[in-house]
Amino acid sequence: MRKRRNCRRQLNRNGGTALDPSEKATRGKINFDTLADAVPQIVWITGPDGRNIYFNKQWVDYTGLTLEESYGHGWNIPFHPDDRQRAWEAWQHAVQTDGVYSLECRLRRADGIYRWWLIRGTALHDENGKVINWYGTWTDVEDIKRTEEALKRAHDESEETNRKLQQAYDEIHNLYEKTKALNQFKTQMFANVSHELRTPLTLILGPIENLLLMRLPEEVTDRLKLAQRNARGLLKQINDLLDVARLDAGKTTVTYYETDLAKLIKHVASSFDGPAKERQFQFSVITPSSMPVQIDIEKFERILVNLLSNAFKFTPAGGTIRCQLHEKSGPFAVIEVVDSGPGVPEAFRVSIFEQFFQIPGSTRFGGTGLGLSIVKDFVELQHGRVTVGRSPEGGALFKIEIPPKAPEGTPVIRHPDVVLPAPSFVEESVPPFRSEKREQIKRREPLDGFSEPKLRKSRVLVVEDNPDMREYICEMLGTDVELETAGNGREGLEKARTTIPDLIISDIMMPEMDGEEMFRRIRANRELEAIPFILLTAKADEELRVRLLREGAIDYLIKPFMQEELRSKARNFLAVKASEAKYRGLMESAQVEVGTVIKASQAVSGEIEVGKLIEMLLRIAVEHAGAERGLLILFRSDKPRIEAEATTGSDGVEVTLRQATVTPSELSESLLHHVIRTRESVILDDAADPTLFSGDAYVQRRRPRSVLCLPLVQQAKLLGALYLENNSTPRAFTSNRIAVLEVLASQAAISLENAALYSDLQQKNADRKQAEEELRRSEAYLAEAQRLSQTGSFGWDVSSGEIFWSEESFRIFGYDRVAFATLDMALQRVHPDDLALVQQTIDRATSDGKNFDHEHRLLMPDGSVKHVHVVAHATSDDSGRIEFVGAVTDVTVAKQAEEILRRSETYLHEAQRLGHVGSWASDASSGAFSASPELLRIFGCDPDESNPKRKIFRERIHPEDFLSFEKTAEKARSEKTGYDFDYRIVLPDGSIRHVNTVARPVFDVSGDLVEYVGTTTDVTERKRAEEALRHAQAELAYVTRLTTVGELTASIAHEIVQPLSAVVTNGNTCLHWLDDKTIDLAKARSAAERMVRDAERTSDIIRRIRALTIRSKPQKLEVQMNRVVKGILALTHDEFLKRQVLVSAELAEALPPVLGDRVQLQQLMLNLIMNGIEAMASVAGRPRELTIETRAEGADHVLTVVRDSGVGLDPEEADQIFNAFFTTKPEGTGMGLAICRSIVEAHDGRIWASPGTPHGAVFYFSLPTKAVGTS
Amino acid sequence: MKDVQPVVVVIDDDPSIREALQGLLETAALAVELYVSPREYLQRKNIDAPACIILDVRLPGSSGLDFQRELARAGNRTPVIFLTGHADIAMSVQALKAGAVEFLTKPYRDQALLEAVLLAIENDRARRESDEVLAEIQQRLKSLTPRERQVMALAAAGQSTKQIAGSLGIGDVTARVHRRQVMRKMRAKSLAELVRIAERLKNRGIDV
Repeated sequence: MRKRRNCRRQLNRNGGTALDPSEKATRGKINFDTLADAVPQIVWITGPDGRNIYFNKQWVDYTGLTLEESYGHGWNIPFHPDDRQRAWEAWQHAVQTDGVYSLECRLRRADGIYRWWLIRGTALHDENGKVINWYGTWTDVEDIKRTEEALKRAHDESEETNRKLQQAYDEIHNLYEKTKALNQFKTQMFANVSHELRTPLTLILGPIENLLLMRLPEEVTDRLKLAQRNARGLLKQINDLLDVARLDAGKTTVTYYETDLAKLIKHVASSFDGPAKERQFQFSVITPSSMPVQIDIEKFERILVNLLSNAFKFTPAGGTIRCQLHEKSGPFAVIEVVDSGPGVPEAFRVSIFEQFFQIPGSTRFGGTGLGLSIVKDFVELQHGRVTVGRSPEGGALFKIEIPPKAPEGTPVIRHPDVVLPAPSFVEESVPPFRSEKREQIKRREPLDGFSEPKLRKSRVLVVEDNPDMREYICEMLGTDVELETAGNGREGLEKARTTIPDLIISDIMMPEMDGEEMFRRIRANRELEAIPFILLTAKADEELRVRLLREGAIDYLIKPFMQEELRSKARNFLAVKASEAKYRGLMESAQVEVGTVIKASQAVSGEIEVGKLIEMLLRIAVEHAGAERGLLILFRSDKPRIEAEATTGSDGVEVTLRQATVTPSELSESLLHHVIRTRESVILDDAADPTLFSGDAYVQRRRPRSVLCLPLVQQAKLLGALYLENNSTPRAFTSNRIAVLEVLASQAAISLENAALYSDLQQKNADRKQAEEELRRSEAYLAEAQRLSQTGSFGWDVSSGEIFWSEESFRIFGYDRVAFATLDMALQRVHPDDLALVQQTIDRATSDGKNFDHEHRLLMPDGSVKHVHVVAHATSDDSGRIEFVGAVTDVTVAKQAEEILRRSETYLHEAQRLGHVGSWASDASSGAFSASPELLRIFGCDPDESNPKRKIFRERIHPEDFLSFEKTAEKARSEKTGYDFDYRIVLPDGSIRHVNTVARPVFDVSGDLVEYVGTTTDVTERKRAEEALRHAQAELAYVTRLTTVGELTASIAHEIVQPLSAVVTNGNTCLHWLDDKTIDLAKARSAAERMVRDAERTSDIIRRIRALTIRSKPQKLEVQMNRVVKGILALTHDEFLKRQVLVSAELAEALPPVLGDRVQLQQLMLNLIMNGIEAMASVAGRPRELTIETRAEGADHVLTVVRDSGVGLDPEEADQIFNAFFTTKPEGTGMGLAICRSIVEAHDGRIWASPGTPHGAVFYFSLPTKAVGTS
Repeated sequence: MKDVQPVVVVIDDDPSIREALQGLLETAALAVELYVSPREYLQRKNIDAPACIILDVRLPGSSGLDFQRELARAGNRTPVIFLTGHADIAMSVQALKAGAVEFLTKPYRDQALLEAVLLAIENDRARRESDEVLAEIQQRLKSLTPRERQVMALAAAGQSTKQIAGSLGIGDVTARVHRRQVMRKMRAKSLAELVRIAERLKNRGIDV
């Protein structure tokens, strides 16, 4: 840079010292050339016309051009084609402005590579300002550029990384929050559900216990005990859940007791003696003779019970279980529970203590997976720890270390002799156990037997791990079957191999080998593959059920199942099996190839698709029987229908599936009906011979020769019939063949039923799925259509990428209609400035399958900008396929209008803000609500909230005001009037604001109510000021009342003294007459009576005074004005005497009560009376008279008049006298009458005054009666 | 005359007070008459018996003090006992000056009231008696000639007969005759008695 500047200075100096610049330049050329060649830049000179006249050596070196090529306009050559235009413009600009020529552009090197250069040039002028030449340099900035770019990229990358980190953090945080919420929800749910379950359980257990107390037959008692045991087991699990919920909620507290741990352990362990004996366990409990500890007894009991029952659960019969409390050696008490069960694999030794964790494969030991987690929590609550290891016997070793002392400062309950109750649920904690032997002894008589006599008893294998359930099933099957039982799949398989049962009934979920595995193995065994297999499954296992049915399971039962269900199913299968055995003998005697039949039979039973099954069945039947034609008839809704027809042609048997009604043109109806009725096969050796069916229309017409019709019977139910005929040969169907066909038919019946079952299941599945699908679609479309009728809608299947656009959508995006749009089409139109955001929104929505709602701009091909609002609703199906259904609205016009509106709104909002006035509008029909920011602010919402919910506003209304607000608004709505209502609102922070809402209805031309518009003003400050004023007024009233009463003290004292003196006097009088010497009881009595009367009078007066001086909250009650007047007169009686005022009262009778505060009205009365007395103080020469009058005014007011004969009243002042501080008396405060007015006005009354005749003044006040006050 | 039953008049607008007082006074075997206001009392004919009036200072229409003055003006000298709820010193001084027997503040002690009543009645009885004596003395006084009255005045003033003669410019003998006449008419047995009578008259404001 410096060099370049030097160079230029040099040039300038050269130019400046010469008269003729060009000549000078030539003269200095050698100097200049040397210098120019020495700098790293390219140096150039052009004439004013832009034609180059000089380049230094660097130019030639870099561009590889010769100087000859470069002079003139040759300098253009190395410019990058994309930069030429810019270079030209920059040059033009420099020439026009006569300024500096400067730009960065790419320049081709001799080897064809472009590098970035900074070009700078400046003009040299002559004294007339004319350009002589342009001088300039080119500087290679490629490396700088690169560095810059690299920096920028690095920066961008780090920003991106940051963003991703933030996003990841947000997601994690989100997930964490969700997990937390879920966890909490779970806990809550446990608690709720458990509670819900406990009630019915208790109600189950109670009656059972009662029944057990009765002397019932042993089999009943045994069954009740079964029910009781299981119900209690359930209760225990529920209690576990509750404990966990409590622990999770942190609501568990520890109560320490002082106790002997050795004794406690022995006590708990002793309750396991029974189960231990039953299982022939070597169960030992080893403890020191005593170990005093401070421990939570109840929790420790649970810990031990849980650990022991865990050991009992996993230890096989005859195993060893040890529970040991070690002699104290360290800071902890150490307890070990050791078993000889399978042990806990190393990998699970931590997770075994987690909630709901169960070692894989151990689930069938039962339990909730909570026992050990409770142990851990309970131990840790007492600051101990529990670990699991391997016992010397190879089983599990649970070790508890627990501090023997409660933590410092924790209260400990000292109970030297605590009575330990038996630990609860011990019996339920250990799995039910009964030995095989016992099971056989306990075998009961059947509830009812199978009626058909059997050649031999059928053998049923029941494979079920739960002994209770196993026994229950056995019991249901009764005694006329031979029962084999197995506790798991492996055992079941073994038993099946050795006993070859006629039927297997098996559970699915079992330890060691589950039912599914066992089933597969049985089906894979040639000997066993044909054994009917009934599955016992849980409701949720639909998929598994379908799978196993397909693989050849015969039937299933969903737990819980009804006894009858199991019995009938088992009976049917056994019957079939029995008949199979029968036919087997038959076939053997008929010299039929048994293998063939069985193969056919198996082929049939292996097929589960109804169509294929029918086809196969018919084909086998026709082929095997040598029939020409065969029909398969099945009952469809109680009517026989032809399902398929087989005909034998030259190419063999052809089977067509067709649905047809049974008509005389198809087969002999009477024959079919005979078969249906009798459920017996009918065979016509030669239909041409006279038979029972000779008259049949079909027989008459078609003349069949050999006819065979076999019923298809399954579970004593007629499924249909197989009809075969041979029209060419009589006696085509030999008895051998028929025997085989009968076997086939019976097998077919089972298979048909099975297939029907399967297809039903599938159909149900499919129906459900379809219904769900349809529902989802129609719901989505319907909702969108309704909501967004005036917009383009779309559907977008994310996985297929297909986007469905409605007409309108195409129009909005400016495309011609095609079958499916693509995301790219939509994105192409998105305004470049909004693209990133749109992309982000879509990415997020598609990855989360979340609804989105986005507003952005579109840049249309014609350059115009549109605003669109896109709303999409996400739906996803079971497979996680996400589909969006939504609408796109062109909101350009609205946006523009909004912009204009916003500007004017800004002013309004500012004004509203200043005045604490919020405005709103509420649509009468839709209830849509809009609110100004200030309204939101008043209601404590975010003022930028664009779519406030009316609900929020309603929710914030103070509960005490809510109903009356609703009533007011509702009344106004029904009357179509406006309203003006004051109420309170409660903000989220709990503060209370007073607001005033004024609403005005808006009608359309036809006079219908369109909407309400209104303002809501925050009047809290005003209210507060009013409240303060009211408070101050009340204070003032109180103080002046006290002052007045104080002024009256002397008079009031007299009022008290008067009856008091009488009391004393009467007392003495009474005593006198009681004296022995003067005794006169009658007189003493009357004196005493006077005393009582006078004492009461005294207390009355004191009460009145108290009432006047009490500071109480105004309380509106029914008040009799006359009583107020009388009360005050009683108090002021002496004052009148003192002031020599004659007072008289004319009180109207039967006045209605006024609604008011008694104290305030008394004060009002007192003030007016004192005012009158004072007005008469200076009066001389005429009587001082004060008259008080009450009377009804109209129907609903009471008028009180106070008349004096005082100094009178200037009529012009009559209005002012009620103003505060207005006084005509030198010593008056001017407050008395002002207070009168405030009291009257607070009672919605009126007070006024007028001059009296001939003297004095008259004061009136009128108060509404109760009737008015409450309306 | 001593046997006449005394009467206590109670004037009070408060029935409690009236009845309580009646009860109290009856224990002292006194006849009691109750009046709500002075006006009512005034309508009654004079009581010809030793009496006293118990009166509240503050009465409707007029004050007790006014009533006291009114009675005095009317020549009714029945003693008045004032009861008041206010220990108003100015008022009590005024009342006592006007001849009230007692001024009791409510709540009064019954014994004090009874004592006051009995004292007032005793006073009244004495007054009534002395009133009778005086009336007779006045009667006697009226029988004196003007000269005799002059002589009596001078004699009562302690002058000797000679001095009286000198003062009146009459002869000694004449003076002596007058003097004797005076003593006879006035039924004075000694000069000392005459002096006492003159004093009594003077006390009643009657100049000899």
